[in-house]
Amino acid sequence: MAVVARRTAIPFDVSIESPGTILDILHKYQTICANEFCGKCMPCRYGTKEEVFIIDKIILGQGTMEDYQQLKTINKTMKTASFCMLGLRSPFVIDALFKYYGTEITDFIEHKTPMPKTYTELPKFLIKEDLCNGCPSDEKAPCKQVCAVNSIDGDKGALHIINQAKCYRCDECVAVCPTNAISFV
Amino acid sequence: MNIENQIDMVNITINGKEVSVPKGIPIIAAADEVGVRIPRLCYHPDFYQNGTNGSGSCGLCVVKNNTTGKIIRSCMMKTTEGMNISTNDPQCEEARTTAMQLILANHPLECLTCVRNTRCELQSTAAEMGIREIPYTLSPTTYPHEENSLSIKIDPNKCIKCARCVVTCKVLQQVQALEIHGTGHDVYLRPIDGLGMSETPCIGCGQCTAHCPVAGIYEKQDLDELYELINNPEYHVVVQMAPAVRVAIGEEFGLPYGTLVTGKMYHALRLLGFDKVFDTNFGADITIMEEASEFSKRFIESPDTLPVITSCCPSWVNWCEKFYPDLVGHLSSSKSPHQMLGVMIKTYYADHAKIDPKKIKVVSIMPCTSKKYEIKRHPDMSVAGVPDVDLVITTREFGHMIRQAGIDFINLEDQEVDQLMGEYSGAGTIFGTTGGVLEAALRTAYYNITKEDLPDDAIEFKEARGFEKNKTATIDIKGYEVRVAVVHGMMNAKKILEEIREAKEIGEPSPYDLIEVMACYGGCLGGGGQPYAKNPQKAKEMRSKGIYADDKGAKKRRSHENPMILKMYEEYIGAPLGEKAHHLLHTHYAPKPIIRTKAERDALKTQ
Repeated sequence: MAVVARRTAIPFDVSIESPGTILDILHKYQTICANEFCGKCMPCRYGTKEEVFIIDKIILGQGTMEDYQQLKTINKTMKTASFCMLGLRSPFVIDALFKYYGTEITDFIEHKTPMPKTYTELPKFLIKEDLCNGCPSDEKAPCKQVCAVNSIDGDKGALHIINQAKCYRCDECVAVCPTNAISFV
Repeated sequence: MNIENQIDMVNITINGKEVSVPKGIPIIAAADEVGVRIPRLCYHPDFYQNGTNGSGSCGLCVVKNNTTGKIIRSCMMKTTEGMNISTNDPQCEEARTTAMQLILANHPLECLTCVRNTRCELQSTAAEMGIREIPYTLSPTTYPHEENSLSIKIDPNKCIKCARCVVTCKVLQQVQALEIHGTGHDVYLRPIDGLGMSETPCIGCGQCTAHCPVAGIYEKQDLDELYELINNPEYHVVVQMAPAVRVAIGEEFGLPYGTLVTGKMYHALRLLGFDKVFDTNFGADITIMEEASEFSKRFIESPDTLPVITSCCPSWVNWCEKFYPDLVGHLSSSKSPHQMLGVMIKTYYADHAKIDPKKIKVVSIMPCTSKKYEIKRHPDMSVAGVPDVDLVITTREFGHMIRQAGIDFINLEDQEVDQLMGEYSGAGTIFGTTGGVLEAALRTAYYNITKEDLPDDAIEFKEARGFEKNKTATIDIKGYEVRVAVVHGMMNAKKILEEIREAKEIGEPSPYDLIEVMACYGGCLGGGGQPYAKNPQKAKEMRSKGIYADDKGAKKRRSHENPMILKMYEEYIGAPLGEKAHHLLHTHYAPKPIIRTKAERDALKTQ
């Protein structure tokens, strides 16, 4: 996992392969943000801290939909009012997770539906073997270029594969694929 | 301050209204000029006027640039031609509200017992923005308070980490005694490198307290001790108040900036139970008698010891001792006005009223936090066997006292000051503004040098007035050319002091003969203990007008014409700079080390 500031990934010592639900991953990620960011400006300093509190609450099963909405509001504020790229971009990771696993999280909050034990068991972005041509004309495939965490591997002209342990579901690769080979399944 | 000088104007649109504003100023300052209020906690107009951006940390001042569609911080972005800004875009408003709620969730909600209650910028900004709930976890911190300084206290828990104080200390005052320590959510305000506040290079000017939006950093409170003194029947408590207090204390009660309320103030002090009300302006007249004599003597007899630099401002003296130790010899050896009056009360007045000096307690009301330090600065400050001044409170604390006592200040009748050491000249009162000490000194120095009085129409030195950064002039005193400089703010002092240092190094005579330095911007009227003003710039200008009006209305406008001063010199002191004067009214200075890290402190200890 990494904190992503527009094409610049700042890796921290958290492996996405470690067992845990999405909420655990979110918690780890947000704790790192809250502790490691410079702490200079207020939306990010207090926002990351508050998000850790809320995620904690949700993990303990005490969360409500209001908390879920609050996470979204704080994210929005951080994206609007933060000063540097770290503050502006770090909410994108949470937003991406919310976008793709929102139902899992809300189900957990509302009905206490148990979540899959590992992140990798959940639906994910996959490159379809029959559609991917490996972009033989490009030096580096566009999906590889946009991936901020270098999760896509593959030689020129050959099938590309997404490393699920690294991918944080930002969906930037979906839009750039010339053959529409990437989908969320 | 210098907006008129940057004549370049640009046309921008703010909230659909086309306006013409100076080029290159922050958008938030431009909005202020045209009357659009953008919420802010970390921006302060003093910063951009002195060439720094501030910290840009609060995130409340976000506005939308309609041309690019981007959200920007208006305190950081400068105005350019054709900008189209909207300050009340829904996206910005939502971000602002959430940011404010997050700040409030991390701020202890102790408003009712807070020293800034009803005078807090966070409070008023929250009210302005209409915050009605805090939906987030309340999690204020519990760091220990820093209480080791004589003038300033830090409450890291109420601090919102806006870093105004840090910028003020480091850039405006060139001291660098504070820092925001840590990373992530675990940051807090502390004296630099975790030293004790009194070990740091802090000069006690209190500009940090004047710029703080909350009670994160504030003056040391001395009211409890003061009530003990007043309520003790054994003590004869004498009070004196600085020139800048009379034009500012009205603001605490809703009067317009700069209202002159001298008479009401005397009345309120009597109601509060002080036994005698004297005026520091009288002390200022003594200071001028001594300082002007010192200057005239050095100017005529030993020009190689010039310049003479005024020493009324304890913060400036402290700064000079630390940062320009080679120039302390140029400081006038005269004590500051309230110390002079203090020592005269304990000697001359004690003799006169036949009271044991040990039973007399002198309380000074000052616009300044540094005076709290000054009364214990040096053994010279208790030269008569008892401290010259026993207690100092700030203008703000004085306001608290009046409110606590339930006095209807606005409707008080005017009263007169007590005789013997209350009557003052116009020269004494202008001590409260930048350029005033110099002007007052020149009025008397003119007399000392030429033995003639300055003509009445030439008594006002326009060159010394106003809020420009460094005012320099050459003044003609009947054939003698006196080169003077007026400096306020330590950032500005640096330039003038460097000139002197350079001239000294190459063996040339100093470029100036007489220099006035005040640590605070605008002089004492912008001091660290003055009432918090919503529009600090306007407050300073109006207070300055009030002070000059007081001077204009004075019967005598030169210190050496004050009949009570002449009487005191005749009856008690003798001549200015005489033996008794030297003993009572003068002091000494010594270089001091600058400590900014624990290692430096330990190295000094082992030496």
